[in-house]
Amino acid sequence: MTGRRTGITLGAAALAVAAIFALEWPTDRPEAASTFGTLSDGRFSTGMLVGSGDGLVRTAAAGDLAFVLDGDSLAGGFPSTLGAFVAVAHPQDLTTVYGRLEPGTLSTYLTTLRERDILGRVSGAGAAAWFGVFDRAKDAWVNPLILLAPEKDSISPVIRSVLLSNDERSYRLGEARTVRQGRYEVLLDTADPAGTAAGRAPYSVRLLVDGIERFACRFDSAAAPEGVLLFDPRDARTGPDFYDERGFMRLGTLDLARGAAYLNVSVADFEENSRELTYQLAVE
Amino acid sequence: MTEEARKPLAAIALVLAVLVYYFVAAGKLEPEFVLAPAWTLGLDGATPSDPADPPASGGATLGFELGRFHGQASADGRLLFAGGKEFRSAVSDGYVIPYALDSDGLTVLDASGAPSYEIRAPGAPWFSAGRLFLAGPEMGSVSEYSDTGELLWTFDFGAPISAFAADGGLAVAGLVDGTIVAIERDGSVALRTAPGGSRIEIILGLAVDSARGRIAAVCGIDRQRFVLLTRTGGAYRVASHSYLTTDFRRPVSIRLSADGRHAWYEGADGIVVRRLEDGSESTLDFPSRDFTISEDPVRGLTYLLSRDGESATLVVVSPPDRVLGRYYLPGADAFARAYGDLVFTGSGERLAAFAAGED
Repeated sequence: MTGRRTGITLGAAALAVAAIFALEWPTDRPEAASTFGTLSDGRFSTGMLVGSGDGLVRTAAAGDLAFVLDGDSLAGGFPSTLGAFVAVAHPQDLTTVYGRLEPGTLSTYLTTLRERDILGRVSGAGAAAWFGVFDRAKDAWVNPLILLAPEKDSISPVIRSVLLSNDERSYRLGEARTVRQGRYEVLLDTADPAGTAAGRAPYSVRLLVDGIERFACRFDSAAAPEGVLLFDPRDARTGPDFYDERGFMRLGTLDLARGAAYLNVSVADFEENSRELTYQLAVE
Repeated sequence: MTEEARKPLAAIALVLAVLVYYFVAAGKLEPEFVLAPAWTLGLDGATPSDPADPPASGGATLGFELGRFHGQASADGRLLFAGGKEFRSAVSDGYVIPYALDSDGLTVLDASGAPSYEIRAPGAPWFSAGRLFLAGPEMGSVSEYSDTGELLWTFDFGAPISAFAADGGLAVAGLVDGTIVAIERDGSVALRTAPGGSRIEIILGLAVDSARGRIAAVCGIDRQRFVLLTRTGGAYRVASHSYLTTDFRRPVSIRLSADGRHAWYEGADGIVVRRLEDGSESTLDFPSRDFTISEDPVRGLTYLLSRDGESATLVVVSPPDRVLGRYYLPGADAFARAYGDLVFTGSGERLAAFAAGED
């Protein structure tokens, strides 16, 4: 299967799953502190962080308790970077994963779970649980927002800056209107503020250069068929190096020739709040 | 003969019977197994040895993580380095890595406690078979680093890791979707398979013996299985399996013996010792949720450390199931492992080495 076909298949699968299966928010706060695709520990997250007012974490849907790690390491001592976590297997080949729980609070006596059964507590006051959704049939992580009830979010994502950068120098678009011809990497600093959360990733990103789409992705799903996790299997740019060390998204490279160039960057969140900026450049 | 006359004869007959039994019927007694103390070392207030004064054992070091301490000791009982644990530690024989889960870099300390090299990556370190692994964020990836801090490989497994084991040749991950992925030393995939056979697929425990081409797993729910994969003709295949009576939904301890003869895994009523040759099993009645094994191939002994809450029991076993001795070790993080002809233990805040012998 080609990369494009794989990407289309995964995206279609995510939407198909959404059509037949819905999840409840795992805590009493239906608001994501960070979203699928957000920069976390140097790479994009395959889940989301969800705060809890009462400290409890509950099953998002009925299912079978599949795995409980009520500690900080697996058998043999391999450390857990999700902390204490629970995996629940659901029909429709979905598994939900609940991490960053407080060791010693995890429920293990129920093996068949109903929706909203308590799984455990978040670790500490003000802490957030990690929540992920895995599609076993497609071997792919699915953006939980696709399956959850909509957030109350009317705030558009922000575009903090767009940079053209190469080994010699970096231009901040909007400030720089003239650039030298040559090859540049396009870097995007964006976030989706919502509620009290400031550092969430948007749901979709698109870059047009002179009206031609040069980069487009949606944070629908992520898979690692070849041992490298990509949220768009057709585009190697959407892998572990998608974010640079400052947290800027790498949208690819451009060869700018002498003349005028128009760059259009648009970002949108899952509730379809969007932001779009267009830059006109003189290339010398 | 009168009744009175018979009494002395009966007494003589009884004495003769006892003498005959003593000299003729008595069997040879087996020598009793003993662990004789070789040295002990208290960690609280202990002073590390001068690094310029090398240990008599030729520089061999034993890493430890015990209570609020981590560090290194020499095989002849000298403390080389003892540091206070602030958060967590990964320890091998020669290196200590203190770390916190939210740190984005690691400093690797050598046997004297001095910084040796750094790793600039987020994750949680783990040593196995002298190899350094880093569990990546969100339990989805693993990296291996050289002993100079060079990244050797990174692999994204695509699903959360629920079991992991490594020896000198392979690193093997079990995933919550029931997949087993084995990675070669160069980072290439040696195996990707899903044993299946259960209503819910998941890998709960793994053990690997790459020299013999074996991977053992406890996997699945409804029904749970023991599965042994062996490499034949360049590919791994299921060599044997059996359904279990257990219904674990948590990590399960499983080990393969160094001599290739047995698998040890957590059972419903204790630690199951399975003979790989014929699949027969016996059970050792010790707490089985968290155990380790360490072997003395010269004496043919297995040191089984069975942890149970705030203490542990060191059980000396002549495999498969003959218990030669058991020793109580207080402390939730007590450990014991064979090192040459010694058994190196840590318990409470004290390190000790014992020489195995017979009395």
